[in-house]
Parts: sequence; structure tokens; C-alpha cells
Amino acid sequence: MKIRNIPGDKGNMQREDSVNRLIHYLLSTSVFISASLLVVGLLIALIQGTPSPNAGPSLGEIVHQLLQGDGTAFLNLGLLVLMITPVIQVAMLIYGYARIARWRFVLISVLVLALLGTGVFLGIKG
Amino acid sequence: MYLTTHNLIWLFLTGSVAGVLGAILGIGGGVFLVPALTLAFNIPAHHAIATSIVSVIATSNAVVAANVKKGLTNMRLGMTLAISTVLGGMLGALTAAWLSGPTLMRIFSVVMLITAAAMGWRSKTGGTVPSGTRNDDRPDESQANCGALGSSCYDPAEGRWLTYRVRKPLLGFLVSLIAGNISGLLGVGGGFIKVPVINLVCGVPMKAATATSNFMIGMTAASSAFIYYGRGEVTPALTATVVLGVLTGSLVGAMISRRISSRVLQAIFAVFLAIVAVQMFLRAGTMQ
Repeated sequence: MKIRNIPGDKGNMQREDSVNRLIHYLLSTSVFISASLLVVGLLIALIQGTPSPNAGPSLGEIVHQLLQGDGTAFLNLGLLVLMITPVIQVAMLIYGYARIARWRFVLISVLVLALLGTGVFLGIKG
Repeated sequence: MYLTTHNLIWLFLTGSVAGVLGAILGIGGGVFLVPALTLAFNIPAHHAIATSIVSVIATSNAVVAANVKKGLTNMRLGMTLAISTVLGGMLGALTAAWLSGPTLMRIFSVVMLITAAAMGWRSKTGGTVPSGTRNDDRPDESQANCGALGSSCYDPAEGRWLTYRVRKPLLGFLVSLIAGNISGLLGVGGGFIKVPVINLVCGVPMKAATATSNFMIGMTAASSAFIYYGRGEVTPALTATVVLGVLTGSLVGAMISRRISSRVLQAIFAVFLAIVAVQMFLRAGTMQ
């Protein structure tokens, strides 16, 4: 349902509060998931022996290692979840601002997402 | 560094101390973390910075989750300034690849000295200016003349709502670019630059300025973290251990901070930071 942005409408502030709640749930969930993956990964790595210094693998490599039960893969996945969260947060803000028809901030958020996407691309490309 | 169980325990404790100090002193833990990792654990500067930048994201995610629920974060202002701070963060991370470890350590020690001076100043003066119009009830922002970027937030200390308009956003934009650049280059949050400017120059109340800066820090750090990750400088076990330590420390620090005077601690740690900065500068000289 599209919500109109009416000047002087107090409901608009309440709808902006709903964007805040969306971000709160995203960040809380992300911190919980990534911390859980890191704890599990460290425990497995310590049981398996000294953690391997496997830094910067691709997502495909991580999935392959996860299936083999490699602790370091859990660590890398946990770190990636943590790192990607701000990017997802911006994507959710685009949706949130579009819902309350604050188009100027939709545009600004799209620009920030494009910049973050460039950072991710540069990272993946190595 | 060879990562044994013994080393991981010490790294967890180091992260915890950085998290506690960061929460109590109102700055990111990176300014403590990078010197500790390079000086005490002999971790190469680039890896220490990469570890710190991921820890900064973890702290930002946890702090912002709490702040947005309280309505302290001005996300419209944060997103606008994020354009420059994210760009600065990326440029900083790319620049770091061209600089040697000792050079990065020298730049870091200079930034530490500036942080120590800012902390000393804040411990003396409080470092804030009262901003915003006070209201007993939550004001309607669209009728309160706050402009496109202004907002309102509840100050529990005063028990009232503060409504504010953002002044000089262009200056805030330029300062955010510099703060983002330092963040990406050195693995710190950069809040020690942004918060005073957003509060003193842009006229945003201190609590909202700090919350908005934290919101921007996560995006800035993410823009550079992937670049460090791609270069293989985010060592999984090292970073994971430190991140868990920082998260634990931040939680403990948030509980302790309500009971102790941060101004006395700020004065003590301003001197401590200055001493470590000199030590780091000298160590960089011996690494050539």
C-alpha cells in the first residue's frame, strides 16, 4: 500500500518511526547471527586444531568449506554477515523512504548504495 | 603471528578492554585496538587496521540497533553525510595499500595525538553546546521549522524533546569526507572528528550527534572493510576473536558508563593515548 506524504501530517513521523524499527530489527538480528557464527567457528577451529589463516576467500569457497565442516569457513561467513549488514541497511532505507514517499532521501540512499556496491566490487575483484 | 589458544584468549581480552574503553569514553575502540595489536602482538599494521575496521562495524551495528529504537539517530542527516564519508572511506582503504606499515603507524600516532588533545579538551569543558528548541511533548517536525535534515529527539537528562535545524550542512559534508578517509586509512571510526562538528557547527544536540555519527561509521567502515577483505588482510580467527571481545566489552562498558565519571577517565586516557602515540611513532622508526 502506498502511503502519501502529507505536509504537517503527524502520521508521517510515525511512519518514519516504522523505518527506525525496521533498521533496529535488521541490526539486532545481524549482530546475533554473526556473533553466533563467530563463536561456533572459533569452537570448531579450536577443536580441529590451530585455525587456518585462510583470509579473503570468495563466497563459493566459503560454502564449499562450510559443507566440509571447516571452522574457518564459519568465521569468514560470520565476518561477511557483519560487513554486509550496513549495505543491507541502506537497501532497506531505500524501501522505507520510498514507502513514505521521501524521494529526496530515496535518491541519496541509492547513491550511498552505489558507493558501497563499488567498495564490495573492489573487494571481490581483489 | 601464530594463533594459538593462548594468543586467542589474550586477543579476546584486548578486544574487550578496547570495547569497554570505547563505550565509557564515547569513542570507537579502534584508537586503542590498532596500537595494542601492532605494539603488543606484533601484528602487521595493515592486518591490525583490517581487524579494527571490522570491529568498528560490529560496534556500530550493536550501538545503532539500540539508538534507532530510542529515536536518537537522525538517519536523514546520516545518509546525506554518508555520501562523502563512504567515498572517503573507500579512498582511504585504497590509499592504505600504497603505504608501508611504518608510514601507516606514523600517521596513526599523529591521529592519536589529535584524539588525545580532543579528549583532554572534552574532559575540561564538557565539549558540547546546548542545541535545539525544548518541548514538553513530541513536536510535529513538519511544522517545527526543522528543514529537510533537522529532526527531534528525546533527552532523558532534561526529560524534554529537543527540536533542531541542521546548520552549515556543506561543512559537515566536507568534514565527513576527511573523517571517512581517516577511517578507511587507519581503521578507526572517525567519530572524534565528526561528533564535535555535527554538534558545535551543525547545531545538532550532542546525543543525536553521537548517535548519527555511529550510524554513519558502520557504512563508512563497510565501504573499506571489503577492500581489506579482498586483499586478504582480514585474518579470520584474529578478527573474529577481537570482534567478539569488542562486542562483549561494549556491553560491559555501556553498563559501567552510567556509574562512573567519564570526564576523569577522559583526562587520564588523554595522557595515556599521548604516551602510546609517541611510542608508536618511535617503533615505526625502528621498523625501517
